[in-house]
Amino acid sequence: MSVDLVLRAKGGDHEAFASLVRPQIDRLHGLAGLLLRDPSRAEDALQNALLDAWRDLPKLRQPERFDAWLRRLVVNASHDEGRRLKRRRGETPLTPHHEPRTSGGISADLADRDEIARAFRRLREEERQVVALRYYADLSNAEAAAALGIREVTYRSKLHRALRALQAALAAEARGVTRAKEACS
Amino acid sequence: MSGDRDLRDLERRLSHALHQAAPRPDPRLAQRLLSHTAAVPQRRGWSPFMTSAGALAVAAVVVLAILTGLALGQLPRNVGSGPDATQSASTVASEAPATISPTPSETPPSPSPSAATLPDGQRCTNATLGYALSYPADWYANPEIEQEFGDPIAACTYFSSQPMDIAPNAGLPPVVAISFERWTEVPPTGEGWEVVSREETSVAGLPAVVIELEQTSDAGAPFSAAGDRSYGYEVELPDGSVLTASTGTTANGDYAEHRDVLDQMMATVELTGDGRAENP
Repeated sequence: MSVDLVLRAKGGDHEAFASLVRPQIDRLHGLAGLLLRDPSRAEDALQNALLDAWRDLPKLRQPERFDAWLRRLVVNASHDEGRRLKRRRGETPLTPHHEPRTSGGISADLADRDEIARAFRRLREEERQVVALRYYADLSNAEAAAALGIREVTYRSKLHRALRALQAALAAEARGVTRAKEACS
Repeated sequence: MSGDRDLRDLERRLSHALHQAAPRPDPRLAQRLLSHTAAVPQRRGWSPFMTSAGALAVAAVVVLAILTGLALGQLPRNVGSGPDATQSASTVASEAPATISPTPSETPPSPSPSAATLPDGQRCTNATLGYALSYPADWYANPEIEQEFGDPIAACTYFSSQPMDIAPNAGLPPVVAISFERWTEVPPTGEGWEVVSREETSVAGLPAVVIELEQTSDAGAPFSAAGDRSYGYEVELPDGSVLTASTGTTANGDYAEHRDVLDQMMATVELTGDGRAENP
């Protein structure tokens, strides 16, 4: 990330803004999709985040924090989009009722991946946020904490609890038991 | 030790699984998204010469068009986030009823366009923007909201008849009915806004204008659309800065009621003299 590009974008240069954002769009879209558990809404969330970023960029006082700020906007926009979806759909869980399960003939690696992805989707929203920022966005604890607007020590604590919840979800998955809280996220 | 190993193994598998599970965007997504941002103005200052007192009067219409257009521009985001919203996991919440400086309502005489006052209202002070005012007893004002980036949002900046859930470093939810800002210089104009009515008045003894605007095109999309209206005050402060207060049809609730409430609130404004302009 180039501070010079951020400064130019702050000054109204949309090409500079595009240069800053374009390389990150796939990753940010993936992050929004994971947080929302609904890829079809990820684009809306990302659109809102980018609009906020562009409009409010002149107010960003630490250009070197642009990336962290943008991730934060995506997390917030995903939260808002998820809340809107929940209202539209009532309290129906976003997780599909009949998720595909891998079965015989599929490699163990694929089966494991599928199992973990299902367990991840059953986490609460806050748990998905802390996990996705660390293991999908590949952020450090400090960067992930900044993206959530919390202290690093708080983030580490939340991440620890989220991983324990994921382990529990995996154990439940192994027992064929769905997590009772899946609709509460 | 076994637990640590299990955890590390889980982390490795998790990273792998999430990278595979994340949705793959359409290759044209970036172009599509960026074409939308390119069509939206940034929030920034206008030419410095416009801030002189004389020019300010001439530019009043443009100024409020800008301010109210921008205020509206913030509002449509988070469509649907209302009073039933759950607590944001990523925010410093502001859902508490307004309890900021809950001193008895005082309604200082002010040649406001509205004779109405708020004898039963609550009173709050915005130390950052430099004013105190009354608002209805059953309305909410935001408390101070810490932000990761930039200064905190000062208490007593946003008002609504419903509890507000304002995320730091994010746009305003449409539940916000009335918002205040203070500007060092004239901000950019909103495209497509035209003046419906304009009246000179005074607020707390200072020259002010009350302007209602209407969006006549979709140039402000996605933040506003043709037919949207905004209504607001622009108060010229002694130091040359401008205090604005506005509401709009893109906010949740009854626009006419919000206008009336804003009129009543402006009649109770007292300048505390210690504020400062924040925009741009």
